[in-house]
Amino acid sequence: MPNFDAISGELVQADQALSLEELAHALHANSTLIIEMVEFSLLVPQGSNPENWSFDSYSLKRAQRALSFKRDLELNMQGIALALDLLDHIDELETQLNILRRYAG
Amino acid sequence: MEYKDYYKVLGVEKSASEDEIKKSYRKLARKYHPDVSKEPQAEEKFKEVREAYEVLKDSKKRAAYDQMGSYNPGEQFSPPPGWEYQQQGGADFDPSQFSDFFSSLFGQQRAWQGQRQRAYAPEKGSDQQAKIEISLSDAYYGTTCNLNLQVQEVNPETGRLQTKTRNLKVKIPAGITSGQQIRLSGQGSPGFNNGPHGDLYLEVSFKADRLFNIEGKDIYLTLPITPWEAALGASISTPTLGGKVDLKIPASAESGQKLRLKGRGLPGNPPGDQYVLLKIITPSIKNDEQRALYQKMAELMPFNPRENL
Repeated sequence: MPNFDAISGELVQADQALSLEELAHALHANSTLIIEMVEFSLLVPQGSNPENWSFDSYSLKRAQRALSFKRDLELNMQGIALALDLLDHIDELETQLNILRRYAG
Repeated sequence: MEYKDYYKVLGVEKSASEDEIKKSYRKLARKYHPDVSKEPQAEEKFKEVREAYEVLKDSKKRAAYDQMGSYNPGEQFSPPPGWEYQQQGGADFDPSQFSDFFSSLFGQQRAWQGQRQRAYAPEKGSDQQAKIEISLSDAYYGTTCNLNLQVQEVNPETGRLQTKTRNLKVKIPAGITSGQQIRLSGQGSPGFNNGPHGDLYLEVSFKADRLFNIEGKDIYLTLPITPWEAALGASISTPTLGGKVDLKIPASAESGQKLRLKGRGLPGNPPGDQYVLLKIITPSIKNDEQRALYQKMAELMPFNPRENL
């Protein structure tokens, strides 16, 4: 394997969060679709208007899932919002369940 | 590359109608969608299903695919001489989401489009996504990981997409949490007309740990203790991500009691905490003397834990 220096990235959070254009580019999607996701409260960016919106890692992951649900499962925005909220809820429950399972085991 | 039988992937006959194809796709897409599926290898299966549908739902692509005739599944395959498939419009093609087989047949669309774009202004290359699984210890201390990325690039001679392996060495900062993404600027696909490279987004997740569970930046540990440590209190050497620390167990501790080691979770501002769940283990009786000790306790310590039942 070639020997080269390790590269450092930026954590997508706080002051390194993504702008609307950057998020759209990362998703290979149109900004209007991201704006629609925000209108459905599926994404909650920092900032008051689209020009200064910023999106963290959690938003990026959520938007990736949302896009896949729209494209691959043909869900509408309200259905996507519901699915994402339920998935978050399942994540929390599974985390708690794993802690309790370890305790019981 | 291997030939793919898209009809078989969707579980339909070659003569299937558009409706049958759509119906089968919808069922399989829900079953294998990697964000919801618990099936083994859901992600690979999902990609296959989506790719098959991408071809079979489109009458032109389906006709082109059918014209190639049939091969045995998995048989080595290369596009027939003179194969050319171009489609007007439709930029929605992300090569990383498709197999070599698909790209060799239908991927020219993007390459061809790329050439058109070169007549215009510089354009940033596509961003790409990758995932990496690290240990909790690596998240605590930070680490450097080697990534092998399968990237698909346009071969300048043939105009077709080809797969290449790229090695990347990436620094993972201490205190990263599961689900966070690292943005590697300029490590995505090449740009067009001297435009900059796209970025690579690396999503981090954690491997299951032998001892700890994790919730955000907080970690959880089940700590087994003896009944006398619980009753009398004790100072117990307890593992944390940063090494062992002495944890003071209060007297009259209970099973299930949660003690907090402040700031002993994943580093950050503020750092996470470690929660220790106490679990009292009752030693089994090995001899008469031990039995007598338990009996003595029963006499000296009248106690009913069930008075509220």
